Parts: sequence; C-alpha cells; structure tokens
Amino acid sequence: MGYASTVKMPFGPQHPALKEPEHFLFELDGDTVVGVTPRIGYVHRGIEKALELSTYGHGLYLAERICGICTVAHTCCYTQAIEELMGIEVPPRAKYIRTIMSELERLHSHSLWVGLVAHEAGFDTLFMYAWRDREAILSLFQEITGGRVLHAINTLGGVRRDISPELADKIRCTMEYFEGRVKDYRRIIRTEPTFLKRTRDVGVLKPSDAAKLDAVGPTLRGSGIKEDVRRDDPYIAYDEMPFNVISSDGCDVFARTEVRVEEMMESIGIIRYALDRMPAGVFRVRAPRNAPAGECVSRVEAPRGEDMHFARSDGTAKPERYKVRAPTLANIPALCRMLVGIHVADIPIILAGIDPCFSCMDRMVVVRGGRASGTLQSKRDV
Amino acid sequence: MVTYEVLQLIVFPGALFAICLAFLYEWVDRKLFARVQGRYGPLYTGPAGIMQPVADFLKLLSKEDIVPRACDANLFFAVPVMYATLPLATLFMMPIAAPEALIAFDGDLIFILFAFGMMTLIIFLAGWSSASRFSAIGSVRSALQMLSYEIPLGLVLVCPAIAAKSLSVSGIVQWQAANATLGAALQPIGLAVTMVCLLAELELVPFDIPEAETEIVAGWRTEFTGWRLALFRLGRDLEVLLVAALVASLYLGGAQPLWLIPATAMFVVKTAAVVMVFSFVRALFARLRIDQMISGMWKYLLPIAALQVVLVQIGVGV
Amino acid sequence: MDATEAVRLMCERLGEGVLDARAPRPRRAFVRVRRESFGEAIKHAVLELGFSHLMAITAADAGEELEALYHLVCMDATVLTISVRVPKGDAVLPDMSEVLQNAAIYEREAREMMGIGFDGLRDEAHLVLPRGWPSDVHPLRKDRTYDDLAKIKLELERV
Repeated sequence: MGYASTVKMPFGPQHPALKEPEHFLFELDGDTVVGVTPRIGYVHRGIEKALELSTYGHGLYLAERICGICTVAHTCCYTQAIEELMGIEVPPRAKYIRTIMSELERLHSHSLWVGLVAHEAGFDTLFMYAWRDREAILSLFQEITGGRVLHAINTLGGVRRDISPELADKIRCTMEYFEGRVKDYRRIIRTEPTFLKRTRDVGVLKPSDAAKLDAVGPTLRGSGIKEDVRRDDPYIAYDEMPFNVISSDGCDVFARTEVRVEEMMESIGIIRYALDRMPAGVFRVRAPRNAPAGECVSRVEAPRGEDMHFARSDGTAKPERYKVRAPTLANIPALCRMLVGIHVADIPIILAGIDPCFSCMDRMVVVRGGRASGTLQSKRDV
Repeated sequence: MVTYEVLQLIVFPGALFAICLAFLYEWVDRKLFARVQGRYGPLYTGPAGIMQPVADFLKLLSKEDIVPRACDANLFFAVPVMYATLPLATLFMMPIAAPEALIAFDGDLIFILFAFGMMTLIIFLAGWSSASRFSAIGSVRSALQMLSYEIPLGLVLVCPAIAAKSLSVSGIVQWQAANATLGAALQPIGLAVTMVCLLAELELVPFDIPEAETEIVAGWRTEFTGWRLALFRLGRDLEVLLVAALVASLYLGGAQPLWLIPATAMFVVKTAAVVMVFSFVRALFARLRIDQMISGMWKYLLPIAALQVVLVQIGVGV
Repeated sequence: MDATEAVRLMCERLGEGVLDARAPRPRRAFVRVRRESFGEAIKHAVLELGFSHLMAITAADAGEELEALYHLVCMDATVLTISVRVPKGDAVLPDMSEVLQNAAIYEREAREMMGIGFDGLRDEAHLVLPRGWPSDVHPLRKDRTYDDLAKIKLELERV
C-alpha cells in the first residue's frame, strides 16, 4: 500500500481556507496526508530591512503594521526593545494602559479566531456571532485610540493617549457584555455535538512534540504545557496582574479552542483589575533621538503566542539590525507535524487551529520597488 | 380545454408558479438563516429584499460565461440544463393546487425517488465534466453521500405508501384527506428520517460536505459561471421546493383545502414551514466529515428507517 | 537558571572560546563565542544547561563578517543569546537540527536572507524568497539597497 502511489496536492497560495496567501504542498496517500512542505513568503514586505533604514520614531509605524491583528503586541515588543536600548523607564500609568490594550487585543483576536475555526468546521452561525460581538471591542478601540484596526497607541516612552475615567467606565460596560458572550461561546463549543466531532482528536500534537518543536502560545498550551511569557518573563504591568495561565490536556483542535476561550475570560479579569488600580500620573516621557550602542531581546505574549524582537543599536538614530520573529513562524514546524497522518477534510481546521497569521510571519523581502515607504503595505484585517 | 391544460402546465400550478415559489423560498431560506445568525439577509431588492433571488438570477444570466479548456464541452453544456429541468418536471407530479397532481399515475413516488437519484448523478457528471480538482472531489463526495442516504430514504418513503396502499403521491394525499389524518402523526419516526435524508439530498449543513467551502471551494459547482451557474441555482431552488412539497404531501396532508382555505394556500403554508425547518436546522450545526456522515447514516439512520417500516406493517396488518 | 549563572557556566566550560559574555539584566544573557567553539557552545547550552528552546536565529551583517545569533530559552524564561561571527568569504556554520529540532526553518531563513551557509542542512529550496531569485543575492546584507532588490524583483516579474 505504502508504495502504491502518492498524489501531490497543492494547498494555496489562493485557497478559501487560507485567509492569507501561503502555500502548502501535501503528499497524499488516498485520503491521508503523508507529507507536507510549507512554502512561505508570499506577503513579504521587507519590514526588517525597512526598520534598519528608518529612525526609531519611524520604525514605530512599521512595527505597527507588521500585523493587523497583533498590532499592539508588535508595538509593545518594539517600544520595549528600543526603550531598553535607550535606557528610559516608562511611567507606570503607561504600563497599565499598554496592558489594557494588549488584553483588549487578545480578546478581539481570540474572538476572531473562534469565528474562523467555526467557519472552517462549517459552523457559520457561531462565526457570525463571534464576529458580530468582536465589533464591540473594535468600537472600543476606536473610542480609545481613534483607530479600529491600527491603534498607534504605544509610543517610545509611553502611550499616546490616556484612558479617562469615563472611558474606563465604557470599557467596563463592554467587558460586562463581552463576558456574557464568551460564556455563551464556551457553552456552545462544549455542547455542540457536530462541532465536537470535527475538533476532538483532530490535529493531535503530543506534549513532547510540542516542546521539542517549540510551539508557542495557545498551540503549546493546548498540549498541556503551561508556558506564557506574561507570567514567565513579565513585561509591562503583568507582574502586578493576577491571572491564570490556561492550559488543556486535549492536545487537539478542541483543546486549543478551549484554551483560547478560557484565556478570553482571564483577559476580561485582567482588564478589570488594571482599570481599577490604574496609577495616576503622566503617561508619557520624552524619548531621546539616538540610542547608545547595545543589543536586547524583547519578548511579548501576542494573542497567537510568543513574539520576539531582537534589536541592536550602534549609537545612531537608526537600529543596526532589527529582527522580528512572529509567533506563526515558530508554530510552523509543529503544524507540519500535526498535518501528517490526517484526513484531507481536516486540513483547513488544523491550519486554522494554530491561528496562523502569515503576514506577520513574512516580513522581510522587498515586494514592491521604490523607496522604503513605498515598499510597505499595511495589512488590514484578515 | 387543451388551452386550459397548457395554461395549467405552463402558468398555474405548473412551471411559472413553481419557479416563482422556488425563488420565494430561496428568499425565505436566506432571510431566516440570516436572522438566526444575527444578520439582516436580503434587504434592498423589493420589500424586505424579497426580489433578491430573482435579481441574482438575472445578474448571473448576464455574467461572462467561462468554459474551462479541459472540460467535456457537451456535458458541460447539458448538465446545467438537466439540473434545472429535472426538478421542474418532477414538480408536476406534486399535488399543488388540488389533491390531484397535474400528472399522477400509480408509481410516481418511485419516479420521484428515481429523480433524486438522477439529481445526484447529474451533480456527479457536473463535477466530472468540469475537469477541476475541487469539482472532482466534490462530485465524488456527493456520490458517496448518496450511497449512504438513499437507502434509508427509500425505506421510509415506502411507509406512507404502505399505509395508503398507493404508490402515487396524489393517492397518499387523498388517503390522508379521506381518513382525516396526517402522515406525521402516524409516522413521526419516518418524518424525522426523511428530513435528515433530504438535508443530505439538498447538501445542507451538516451534510454540505460536497460543497464544503473552506475545503473544496464550491465543490462540484466551482467551474460553472454565468448562465450555467444561474441554472444551477434555479435548479437548486426548485429542488428545495420539490423536497418541501414531498414532505408536505407525504406527511403533512399536502394540498387539501381546509374549511375555507383553498388547497394552494395550504400547500404554500406547509411547504414554507418545511423550508423554514430546513434553514433553521442548517444554522444549528457544524459540517460533518464524509466518513462521519456515512457511518452515522448506516449505523443509526438505516436501522431506524427499517424499524419504521416494521411499525407501519404492524399498524396496517392490525 | 538565572542569567549570570548561565554566563558563568558557559565561560567555565568554554574557557578561551568565549569572546564576550554579559548578563545586562535579569533573564537576559549574551555570550559571543569563537567559531571553533560554536558547536560545543550550543550543545552545552542545550543539552546540559537546559536551554532547550530555540526562539529564533538572527543573522546580522557586521561589515567584513556575518554574525548569527541563536536565541535560546530555558524553562524559567531566561534568554541566552549565543552569537558567532564568520568571515563573508567562508560563511558556513554547522546545522544544529540534531540538537534543536526546529532549527532548520530559521537556518533556511538566515541562509536566504543573509547568506550564511549551514553545513548539513538538507532542504535547499527557497523558503521565503520568490521562485527564481538569484541565489547569490541576500536582501538583508547591508550592501544591498532597495533599488537593487527592486530591480531584481522587476526582472523576475517580467519573466
């Protein structure tokens, strides 16, 4: 049997299950996947090169546009790295605002993902519900920052806008509503038999594999390993926040779904806690133009997993080298492991299961000619 | 007299009426489905978007017609036409305006079952002729699906016939009218099994496996554009009407007047109810995988269908 | 493991092989090693000190030399960055897939973008650059300007 013949089936770069262009070449034996070769890079925008060519202030805008969904995570990581190089300390109020923004982003990203995975499973009703409720968070973003998708709130030395008490009340109000909705999703996901049939024991990633292949974020925690940068390597105000690191032992797509839904509940808790205990004072300090020579590694727990930036400065106003490693790239080896030995019909849901964000992952090659600013295209929503 | 009969065939309750009703039910389905999901659904064309299906049909007719170079040209031409006309022709066997259908003969129930089989065969040919990877997978899935639902469907559809001692849909409707009873009251299990099988026949969630969007684009319909796609959509709407009419006739008493309400109105109310049940059900579930669907059909649905036959036999015998 | 401890242990083990070692803040350690000691450094860190997770490989252009930085993490979230420099003329490092299972994807990226070769890396296909991209053009090198790269891209598109 094994020798009979395998069929090569391309998946992407244009495919309805992939919201962004990426290519996977599957090797099939009948209905079973026996091999998979990923090919990334269809949406490289040359961001790393562009970051090296722009000043620290300009780089902020590039970091903002690495990803449309984890924009706060990337700017958090960027500002953190550059502030460490510059040696400036962010005021505590700014740290709290960054924390609130990060968690709001996690809420919107996870609810987007719940919708997507439901859509991949053919469960369009949940998809519509999740995306409708996500609107509440996007409107909140608009109130806080003026932008629904790109927020431009993090800046070197703090944040650009304050959260006023009235705004805080509005956020609390939305959290009240959203908490009810998340509880609803949790009930639906746990009880809907067809959804369970499609997600249970699908895309199994054993804990040992997850650790060895260095999966990150909910993919890792769905395999029962409790690792979370927010707790292990606390940044901004997370060392003061009480929250649980969620993990699930299921090791399948269902476990990943559960982890994300539970994480949304935790995020709501963090946002409430941070709003109640927000320290008074300034929310921004002046950042110098140049950074002294040095290097640093900055880590952030983006909604999709650990986001890592590496920065090296040489005393000028531009970084010498800036490296971005988005969570999706780290999950690719684990994804390839999950995809072997499954049914063809399960491919989309497993792909969606890692919450891939290919634009985040691809960022380095020049796609369009012209000057640095001309080479960049901001990725909007998925 | 001949003119009257021709009018009956072409206008009411024949082709024109059926097509209008089919478009209306597409709107009912889309609207209800959208409302269940918290959306608005069709909104702008006509009052509450009621003309949207017609507008879509006309729009598709005017779109560019693209024929893949590798396809089987003759089949590619014939399949959409067959797909649209077969359910329309079969609808003539459904009692719509009176308990007696336009064309009624003993055994038309068998013909209807045959038509359902043919529909799947046409779908298979559609996927096959378009020479596309997605279409091929879609059509194979469609055929596999038919293998699993057709037997339980055939079994339960025989039950009303056994009860009414008639193999004609009109006969079954008249029997229900004469005995003042409903098939649904006598054979609730049969109704449930029929609904599940017909969901699969119509390729609705959770059985929309042959056109699973996120897996195989539009399945067997992927390569069809322009007027071909328009005909496929029309055929699909007619098939929904056909299926709803079948359920209404066999289990809900069909087109029989009630007190002052004319038969046609009763027919419309009953079929609309069936369509609404379908669109409500398809909002509730996720899509199954083909192997899960097949094993479910054989493991659970087939024994239940057989049980219904046994129960009906016992009922009739006593 | 705490960062200063990690730096101390690395220095102890490699001795002369370490060129520079710092622990600028808690949970961050940087160790620069000689090329000859590179394999040993990684193996020591991964297998004995428990820095078993590879977060990423950063490739950097340091003028006459190329630099590869391996960012390793241990269970309690200390990040150890082991860096090594190789001359541009002979930019080859050993493939670390045996000790770090996910190294291949980052190595391929570093090879394409910066032109560091990895001895023993099997998959030679392009991972991120477009099909047909000339194999001697590495976009992230400092001497490659945007105009250069745009020209190459345009030519590729014409074909």
